[in-house]
Amino acid sequence: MRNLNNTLLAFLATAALAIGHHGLAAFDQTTKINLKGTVTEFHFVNPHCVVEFEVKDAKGQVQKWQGEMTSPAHLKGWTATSLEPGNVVTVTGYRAKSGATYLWILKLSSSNGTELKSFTGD
Amino acid sequence: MIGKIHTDPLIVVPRPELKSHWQKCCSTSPQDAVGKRWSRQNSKLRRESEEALLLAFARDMGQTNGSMQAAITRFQLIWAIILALPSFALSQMNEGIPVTDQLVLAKCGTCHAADEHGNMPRISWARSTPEGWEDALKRMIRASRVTLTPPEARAIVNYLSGTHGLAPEETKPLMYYAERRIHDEAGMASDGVLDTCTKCHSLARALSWRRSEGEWKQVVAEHESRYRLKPNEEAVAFLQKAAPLHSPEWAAWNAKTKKAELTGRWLVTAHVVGRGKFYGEMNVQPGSNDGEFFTRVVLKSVNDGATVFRTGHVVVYAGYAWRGRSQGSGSASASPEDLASEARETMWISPDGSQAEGRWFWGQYQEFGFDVKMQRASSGPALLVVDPPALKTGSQANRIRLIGDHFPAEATPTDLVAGPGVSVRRIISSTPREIVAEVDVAADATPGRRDVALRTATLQSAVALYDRVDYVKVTPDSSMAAFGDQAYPRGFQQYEAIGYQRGADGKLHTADDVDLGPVDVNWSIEVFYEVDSSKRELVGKVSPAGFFTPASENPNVNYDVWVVATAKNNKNKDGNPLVGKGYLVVTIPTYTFNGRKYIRELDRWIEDGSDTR
Repeated sequence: MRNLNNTLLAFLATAALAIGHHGLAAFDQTTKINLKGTVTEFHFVNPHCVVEFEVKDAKGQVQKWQGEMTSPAHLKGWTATSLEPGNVVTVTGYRAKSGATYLWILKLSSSNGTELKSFTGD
Repeated sequence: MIGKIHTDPLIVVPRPELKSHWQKCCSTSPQDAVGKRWSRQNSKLRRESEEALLLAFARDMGQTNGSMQAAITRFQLIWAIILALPSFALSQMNEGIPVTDQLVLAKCGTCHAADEHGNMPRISWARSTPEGWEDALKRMIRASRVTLTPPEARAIVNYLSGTHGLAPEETKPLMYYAERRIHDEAGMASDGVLDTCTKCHSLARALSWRRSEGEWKQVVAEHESRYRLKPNEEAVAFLQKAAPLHSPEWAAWNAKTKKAELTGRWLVTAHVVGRGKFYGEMNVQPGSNDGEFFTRVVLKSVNDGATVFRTGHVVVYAGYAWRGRSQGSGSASASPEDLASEARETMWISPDGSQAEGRWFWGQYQEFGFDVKMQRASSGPALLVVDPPALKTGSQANRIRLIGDHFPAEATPTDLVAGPGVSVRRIISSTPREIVAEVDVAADATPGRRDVALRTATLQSAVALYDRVDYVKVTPDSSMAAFGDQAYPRGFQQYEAIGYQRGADGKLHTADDVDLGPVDVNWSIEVFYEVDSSKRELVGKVSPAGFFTPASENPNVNYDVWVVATAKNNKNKDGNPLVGKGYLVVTIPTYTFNGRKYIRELDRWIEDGSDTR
């Protein structure tokens, strides 16, 4: 393990996958979307925290969404209970290019006061 | 291939093919300049220490400017102390640990020439684990062309791990590193230090070393130069404080004989992810050299009674660091998770020599293993396992098994105590190794973990009482598997679904939640960003037993995957099955960037190429 250059270091997985292991290539970074929904599950895990939430579309149909964030170590002050089922969240982010109901969360605010003010880490 | 060297087992019980690694460097090149440089370094350090004392005194003078008499008195006092104990005071800051072993002096002395006190530059100002010294030795073989035979290498690691080792208390928090476990190091140091160190290796790798202040300064400076890192004074300060050369723990341990006496019979419990608990006993016999032992262990599955026989060879370093290799009886099947597979054993023996715990592991990424606890067998009763591990409140006539050693010949219901709300109806059967009892649990019994006692034998937190399963957690909740290629076998992952009840705080996913043991689930996977399930075949499959196997074709793409456990018998308040998810990254086996090839190693990428550090 030698001569690692700094550029590469940014891509390396680290202890406990603590630093993000992938970039945002899977997401459409040209357009931000805004969603409001109700949390059904929150995963405070490496390499990315994920919030699952339900959004009602214009027709009243419920869509299941998943929002990815940075790693637990980079979500300062957050815990596994920072988001709980029933919390209403408003999120802004980049949607998955595949068209799946996934997004990379840039901003989040929750009815319980939890906030992610800006994108941190990857 | 350096990656292979890096991941090869510790040299304690080398396989024949390792010999070539140790002998591949064939010529020595005296590097007197290096030794001289370090002699100068140590002189400089001594000067710095003296200067630090004088600076402290100068600061003191400034602060007491209004009272010269007091300052003079303090000045006189300080100088009296310095003059009375000059060698003691300064040596406490700079004192090296002399090397007395003739082999180390001969093999390392060319570059690390010992001074009149027996202190060898660098070596005498560092302490480390067997793995740390092994790494250092490999580095010297690669970079400095040191020539060693395998027995010489083993002897040097053994000596340095004993005389320049870590105390048991210093090692214990870092055992996850030697045990090859993926471990979240968040919070172990500041973000700045973690970011600096863990880009290339775990923090435990650094903390496996204890060094003088000057040595830490030098090591960090070398890293900055070698890996073109930004200067990081914070890392230096952290390491100097967190991992000093001299510590009370080491002083106390070093004063002891440090000779392990493990011969005899040990009681063993083990857990294998996906297979549940095992229990049994190990017989330890002396080996051919001091600190070496032969082992024979028999383990029986609590779940299905399946039996595992293993024999092994162990070397104990520094009186407590168990490093060994064992093999199941018969030939291991082609199945990678076969419990008869050859395994490395890494365990921590308690300072009093009465207990040991650690991991016996194998697999391309050490992903398989037994989590083991051992205790010396005695003539008294010992309670090892209570099965099942959880009982529902308000349930009647539960059959529980107590497994242990030297149980009383005629146990009665009054011999068994599991706390308020649990009453023992009768003892169904009783042998010296196992008792089956029938118990009732009151509806108003307080949920939570509790001890179980059989006369004088107590097993702490042996059983959990619960009113409902509140959620299912997939373990490990964060994990990796790897596609294979022609050079690297696939990396697998075994999962378990554990039921949990909220703890006393009434909230889910908090520290006081109660582990209720495995629950029956159906396993499936979901690929991130998928719009249909077509990619799942490309990624791999999870078996009904929760064993994930990556697809045989390497797609040259990483996939993020949910491993989903859907409970068969446990539902939420809406009547839907409880669902748990684990985050799995299925990764490629090798990675090429800027013309350099990197290979996956446990939880990180390391460069695959010759290392000439």
